[in-house]
Amino acid sequence: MIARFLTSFLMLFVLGSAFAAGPDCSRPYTLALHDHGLLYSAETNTGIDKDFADELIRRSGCKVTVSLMPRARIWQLIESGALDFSLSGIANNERYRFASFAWYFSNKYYLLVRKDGSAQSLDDFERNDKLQLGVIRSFRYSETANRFVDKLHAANRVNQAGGLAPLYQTLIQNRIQGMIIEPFDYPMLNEKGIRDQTSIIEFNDPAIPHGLIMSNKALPASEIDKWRTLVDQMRADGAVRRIFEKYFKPDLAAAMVDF
Amino acid sequence: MYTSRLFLLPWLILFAGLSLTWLLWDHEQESANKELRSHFEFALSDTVSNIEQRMAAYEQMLRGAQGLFAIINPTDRKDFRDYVDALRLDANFSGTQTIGLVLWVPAEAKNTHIASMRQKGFTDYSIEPAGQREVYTPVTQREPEVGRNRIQPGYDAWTDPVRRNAMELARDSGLAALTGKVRLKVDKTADAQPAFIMYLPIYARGQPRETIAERRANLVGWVFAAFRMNDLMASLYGAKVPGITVEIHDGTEPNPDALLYRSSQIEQAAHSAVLNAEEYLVIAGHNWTLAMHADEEFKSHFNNDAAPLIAGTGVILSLLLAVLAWLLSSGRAHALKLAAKMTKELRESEQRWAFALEGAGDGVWDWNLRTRVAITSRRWNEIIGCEEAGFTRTIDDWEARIAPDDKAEVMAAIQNCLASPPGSHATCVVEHRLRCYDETWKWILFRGMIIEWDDKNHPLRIIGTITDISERKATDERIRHMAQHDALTNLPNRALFSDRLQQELASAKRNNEHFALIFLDLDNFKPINDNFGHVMGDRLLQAVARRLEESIRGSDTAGRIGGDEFIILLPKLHAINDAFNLAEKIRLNLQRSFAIDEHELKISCSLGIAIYPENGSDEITLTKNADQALYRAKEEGRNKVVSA
Repeated sequence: MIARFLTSFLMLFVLGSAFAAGPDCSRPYTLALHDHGLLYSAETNTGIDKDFADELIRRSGCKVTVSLMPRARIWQLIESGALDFSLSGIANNERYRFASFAWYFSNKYYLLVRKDGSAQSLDDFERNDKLQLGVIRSFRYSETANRFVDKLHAANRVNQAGGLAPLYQTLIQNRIQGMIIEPFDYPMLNEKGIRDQTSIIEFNDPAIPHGLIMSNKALPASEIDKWRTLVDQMRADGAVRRIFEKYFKPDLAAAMVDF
Repeated sequence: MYTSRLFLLPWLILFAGLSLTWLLWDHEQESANKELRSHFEFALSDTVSNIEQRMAAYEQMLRGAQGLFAIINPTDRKDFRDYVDALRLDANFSGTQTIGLVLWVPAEAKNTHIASMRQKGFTDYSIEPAGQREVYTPVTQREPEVGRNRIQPGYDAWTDPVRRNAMELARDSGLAALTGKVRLKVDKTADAQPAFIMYLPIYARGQPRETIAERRANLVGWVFAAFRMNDLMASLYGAKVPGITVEIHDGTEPNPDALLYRSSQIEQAAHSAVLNAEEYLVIAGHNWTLAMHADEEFKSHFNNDAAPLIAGTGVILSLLLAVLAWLLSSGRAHALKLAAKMTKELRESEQRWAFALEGAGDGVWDWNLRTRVAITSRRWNEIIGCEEAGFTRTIDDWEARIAPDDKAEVMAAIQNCLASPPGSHATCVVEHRLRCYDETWKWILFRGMIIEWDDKNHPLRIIGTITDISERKATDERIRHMAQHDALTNLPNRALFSDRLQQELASAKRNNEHFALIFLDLDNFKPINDNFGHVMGDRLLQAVARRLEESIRGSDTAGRIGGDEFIILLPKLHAINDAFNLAEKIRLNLQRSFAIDEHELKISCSLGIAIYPENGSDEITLTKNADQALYRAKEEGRNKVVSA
């Protein structure tokens, strides 16, 4: 009896503490998704980021307006403070200036190239002036990939896009010969019938963490910490892994969320 | 070799100058290109951003309409019209041709729908195109209902695959969806602008819409906005950048059929453009390809590169430098050539002079007064008797070899020469004795002349010659001896004797001394000449002279004054008797017989003595008195000494 009482008391205390540590929901927040393969597909209004956003919003108890935007626009609005959150963001020094991050998965980057482009390595691709690379505007990658993209960009060999879909299309049309993809893009390769025409070249960089993007201008540091705690809890209690397992085989999901 | 260097240097400088110019030009051009590219990229991202923002605004506007139908019945035409009126779609939104409503009408509800529309005043209302279909999606309302929008409703958008595609996408995702390129129904003219339509689904109020199935089941219709592309692009914010052509194609494959918009009337060929870029826009789930071309106008608008200036200046400067280098190097080469020629001439001249001097038997020397090193010629070495090789001669060595008696005179002559001002061509000529390396002495005629001074007019170099004059000196001495001595007896002749008598007179007067003058005449000499011949007579005279010299003191002088007459000077007499005793000694010595060849000859002599100052204080008196004394001795029987 006493034990049950103590347990109930403890539960109340823990719940109380959790409640006290939750984000401030006194105003509605904004969160933007971007159309990017398994992360989010506007066509079906589903994806990892959509699931993650739903779970995050549910746990926060706050009202969050979710919208779809091009990635470049998202970074612009995060910087200006007009947008509170976005998902699957990676950091660099410039972004740390205006954004904070709460990591929930990590992955490597790969160069997807057309087989008929005869590029077996990054150097092959770089050397052949006829090969164009397609990238999503404002996307950043791992160190080697960034260097690779910047070099081609300076040589006027980069076509930019507002999303992944046109890149797949132009790759099929042979108007670009390479694009940078992440593991969660693999299913799309099959779906679009790209896999047979392409091969994959790895950037020899460590996996890059991706996370919840929080606008430093829109959110005070204390709130950012609370949202980060929320994400950490989602990782700790397996919610993130469960979302990824919906889209990937368990071993790949584990490799992405355990970092 | 030298000539090739002469020609190589200006070319090298020209090459280096042009290379540097090229590097600078290339760097400047690269910077200018980078800057131009950055302007171009800014224009591209600005255009993309403007379009995206504008489309987002339209989507938002349509969401307003979508929200309206969350509270009103889609068939309530007035509320929808009021809503569109309230939007105040002014010139800022001139791209928006129509905002309208499409209803989802299953086949079974078709008649009810048509009846409902006819009741609302559209008496001729029908769904077009006609025909039996499972579902109808008639446009029931177009706002604002003015101008071209005033057309009969009822067009079944589903029948157009392009429209249907977007409608399905919007229905299934619940989000806005864009059609491909379409011709709007309100555009009746042949030159209709390319257009597109944005659809946003309306679902039944309060019904679930989480899954695609739920969204499909609860679809009521769509709100849409139709846009004319040219009008939309014209209404975008932002300054138009000169020299930029923007093309927007529907989809990701640019072809003339898919062209939505071109900012210029003339098609800009991508290959003739200065800069090209393509970007794929994703707007409401639909892809557009935006191609941007920059022409020369764009380049000249932003062009502030100094590359042509650098190239021009660099080429001119390189050429000037090369010409300057050529002038300098050829001038220097000319100077060096001249110097070499002069050096050669000088060396030849020196060699000629050295040869001439050596040929004349002179030794040549060259003193460096600063280092004290003396360079000497082969003949010089021969004269001095030293080995030519392995010997560094110095001026000091030469000085040490000058005869001590001559040294002061020689050094004074040299000093005198050194003290003369530059350009005076002062020479020093002096004769002196020099100790050779074999320790013998030679007479040297030393000639020197200063040929080089430092900037403070201190002499630096003296050159000159030495001539071996030992032989001449010996000849001189011989002539001088012959002039003062009797050729037969080698005794001082009257001239030398007179000279010594004068010296002794002066000395005796100065020192108050005595000396004696003795006249000697052989007795009966003539019979010897007569009996034995003059040769024998001469040989006897020579023998007499030798015996006379043996009889007198070292300080005494015996001379022959002619025939068989001799004269003797006895300086510094301590006593008068000394003269008489010496004269007696001579008489006795000559009295002894002389052995000449196989002959033994006997002879005697008479002597007259005069003493200074007792018998005279000058030459004439003394001579006269001595001669008179001799005369008396002769008179008194010969072979006798008589004092004056």
